[in-house]
Amino acid sequence: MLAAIVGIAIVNFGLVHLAPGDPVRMLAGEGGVADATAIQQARAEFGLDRPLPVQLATQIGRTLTGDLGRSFRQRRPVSDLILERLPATLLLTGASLVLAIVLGCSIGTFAALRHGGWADRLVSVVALLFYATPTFWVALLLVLVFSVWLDWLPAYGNASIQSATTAGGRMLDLLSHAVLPVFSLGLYHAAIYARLTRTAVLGVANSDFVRTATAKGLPGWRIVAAHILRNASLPVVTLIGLQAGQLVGGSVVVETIFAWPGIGRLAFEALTQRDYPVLLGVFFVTSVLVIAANVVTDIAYGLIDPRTRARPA
Amino acid sequence: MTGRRIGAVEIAAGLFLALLLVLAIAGPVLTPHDPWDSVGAPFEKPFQGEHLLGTDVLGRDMLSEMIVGVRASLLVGALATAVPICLGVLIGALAGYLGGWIDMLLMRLTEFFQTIPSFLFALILVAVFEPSLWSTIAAISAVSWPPVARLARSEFMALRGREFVEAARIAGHSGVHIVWREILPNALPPIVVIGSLMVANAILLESAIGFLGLGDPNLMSWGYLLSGGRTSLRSAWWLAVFPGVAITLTVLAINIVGDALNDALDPRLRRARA
Repeated sequence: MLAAIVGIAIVNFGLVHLAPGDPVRMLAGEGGVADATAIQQARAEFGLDRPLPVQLATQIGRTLTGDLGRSFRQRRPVSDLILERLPATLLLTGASLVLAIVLGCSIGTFAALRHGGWADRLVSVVALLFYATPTFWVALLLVLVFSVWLDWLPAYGNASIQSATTAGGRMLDLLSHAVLPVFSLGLYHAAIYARLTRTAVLGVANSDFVRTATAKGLPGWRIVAAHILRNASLPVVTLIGLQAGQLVGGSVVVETIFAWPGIGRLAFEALTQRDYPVLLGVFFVTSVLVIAANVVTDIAYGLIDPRTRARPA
Repeated sequence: MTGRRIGAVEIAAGLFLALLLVLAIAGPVLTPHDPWDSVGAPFEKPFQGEHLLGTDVLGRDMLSEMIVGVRASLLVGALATAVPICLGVLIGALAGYLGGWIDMLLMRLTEFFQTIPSFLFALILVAVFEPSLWSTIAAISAVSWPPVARLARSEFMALRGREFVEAARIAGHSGVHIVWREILPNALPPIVVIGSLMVANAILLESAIGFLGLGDPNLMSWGYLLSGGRTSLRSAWWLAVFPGVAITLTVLAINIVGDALNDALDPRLRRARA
């Protein structure tokens, strides 16, 4: 994990130095390099006058201590900006992930248990359709239908301007703002989980131990819950780790469309303003989160399937 | 999916892709208007006037824009698949054929690039190297090669111990000859399958990059059209809906044909795909 974090720091370093133009412009912004003396000052300030290996080592050291540089647009440390916006993104991606898993797995299981029937075929077609639809387009259509035409749900931000006075009212307000972004981000992933769960359940449902359980006279729900789903959940858990990065990428688009104040939108703003320290900072933090998600799924894998636990030497 | 047999769905998907190919080649000749010219009032509604799919904010004919967009989207889809396939096969072949510490190093690198949030990485690449057709292709390529490398590696590892490779080695052929002429042709079928599905992914990525306004501003792709449709969503729904339908249908058709190809070329892979 540490190696991966250092790796991301190196990639960021490479991006700054391989990009066309002077790295000073990337780190200090166009405004900070107006004349020759300012350039010299900025160069010294960012340590760009020292040899490359020294610069790289300094940057890795800084990154590991949580110093991600300063935003020259907002004149604040990047880490502060990200920490401010992180909860909104975690809420959005977390809720989308839960939606995707619950919806995808239940629909996938349902389809598999009715293998070959019309319900199974319908699920397959719908899943294939959502699998092919760009996330941002689903978001646009949801806005079009539920905000523009029906006017049921808000399309922007995560709180109304006249904020509710009670805690419950604020909660409701947040929820109504979260519905569209969460579904936009979650439906594509739900389609993937549905397809995978269907395949996994079909694979397990024909195995000998399921036949044994049926022969023992276990009730159907117990067979599904304890025997089929536990075994079918292994590929699903693997996928959660693999999809974590995609969820973050999708949040950039979804947060931009819905003006959701998370780090995805922060990244997009940084992109359009050429605020590279912020952009690279968001990239670093999200990469670390994704790596952490993979570590968590590895642990979950061991909990579900004792065979995959690492044996002590 | 319906399995091995080629049904009506697969044929329809294939015909749709053939139509797209024709439009990509002959599109600019077939458009009713110059897609960059104002030919009517802005925001003319679709299906009720001389402009079948309506007009955009500048009064440009939407149908012409969509037709010209086929070429850009397919071009990016094709090139942004070809480049990562070559890169992935090269890395996978080196890792799988040579083994040892080179294999370990390359696979660590592959895993690393597979873990980092790829879309964000692609956006950063596009932003750092000015938006253009080539930066879009480079960015998509930079995030799409890892699965190819892993697949190529496993194929090369499985094939390098087979008799015909041993025979070539005994016959005194060089390593390059063995990799290029003996193993690669046998490793190709699954790579073709993954490649067909990567085209769909590349089109999706291009549309997302274009949608965020980071694509080539002089290239009329479906993503470019969508970025315009987004800002006028409240006044002109069709600007966002039609390009989205085109992207979804194209990706769907590619996925269906890719799945059929998968079943036809390599039955072993059928269950491995998620």
